[in-house]
Amino acid sequence: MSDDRTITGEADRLLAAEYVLGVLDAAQRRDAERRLGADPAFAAEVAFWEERLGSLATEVPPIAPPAQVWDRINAQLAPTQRTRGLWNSLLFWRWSAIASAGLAAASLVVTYFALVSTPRGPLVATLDASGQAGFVAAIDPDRNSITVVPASLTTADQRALELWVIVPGDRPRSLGVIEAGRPVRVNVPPSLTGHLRVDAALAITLEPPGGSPTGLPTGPIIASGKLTNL
Amino acid sequence: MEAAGEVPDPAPDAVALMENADQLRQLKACLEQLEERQSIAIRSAFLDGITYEELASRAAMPLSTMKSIIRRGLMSLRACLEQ
Repeated sequence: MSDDRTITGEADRLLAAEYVLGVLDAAQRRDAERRLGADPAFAAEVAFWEERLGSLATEVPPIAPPAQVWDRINAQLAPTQRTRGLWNSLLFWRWSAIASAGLAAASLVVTYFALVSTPRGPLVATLDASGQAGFVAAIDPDRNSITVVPASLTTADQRALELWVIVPGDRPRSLGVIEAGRPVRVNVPPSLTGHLRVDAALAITLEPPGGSPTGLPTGPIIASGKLTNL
Repeated sequence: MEAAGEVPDPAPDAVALMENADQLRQLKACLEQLEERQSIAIRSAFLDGITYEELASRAAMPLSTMKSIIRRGLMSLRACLEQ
């Protein structure tokens, strides 16, 4: 029976899903509960979603930091001038982190190794975002490349790790995808060498394979750290 | 025996656990097939237990847009889970 009942069927299935998902307002919820007692097909649909979505609750979430991490990075970047507007576009993306707040986050240790003397001062930044993952990022003296060494990443997550540089007043800029299992040398595009400065921060997010499809972070931050002078 | 009063162990049924793991695996695979924003919105809605209105407000987008994102995501998810 899928001819003239298709639309109704779809609306019912949606209502059942929305009910289980918990997105309905109070009135809609009461409607759904009435249906639940009176309509076995609807009740079966609700049971389907409860069983399926319920497994989400038992999921061991991927490493995800508290949602406030971006805020904290931002606060460190611009202690006097707040640039909240810049971050609003990231609100949507931050939810995945909100969902896992309180769980293990990550730590990123960003260190500038002054292996060669340089007119610019060496940069060291450490940030402990209370977590499991750790990276060391070494920025070469001419700012043309960054070597990122994973220190203690223990994630089986299949997503890509994407490295970002953030400076005050600008959106996060991608520096490319790195690897959890081995050191990676990331070439810095000429347009971004100027971003590697004392008031900048580096962050690593989980992204779809190949990196963020949008050019902005779409997954949770697993590590971040601010560049500072030694 | 009681182990220092921590880590409660309800000894869940192993079969049920495995079924749950299978379902979770399938659910995650299906969620990954959704548009990123659909997947994030659905996970957030479920895990945070918040309504369309709250979701829309958090994402700073119109209620109708949020509903549309989630509904389309749910229908795709339903189709994927049935496969």
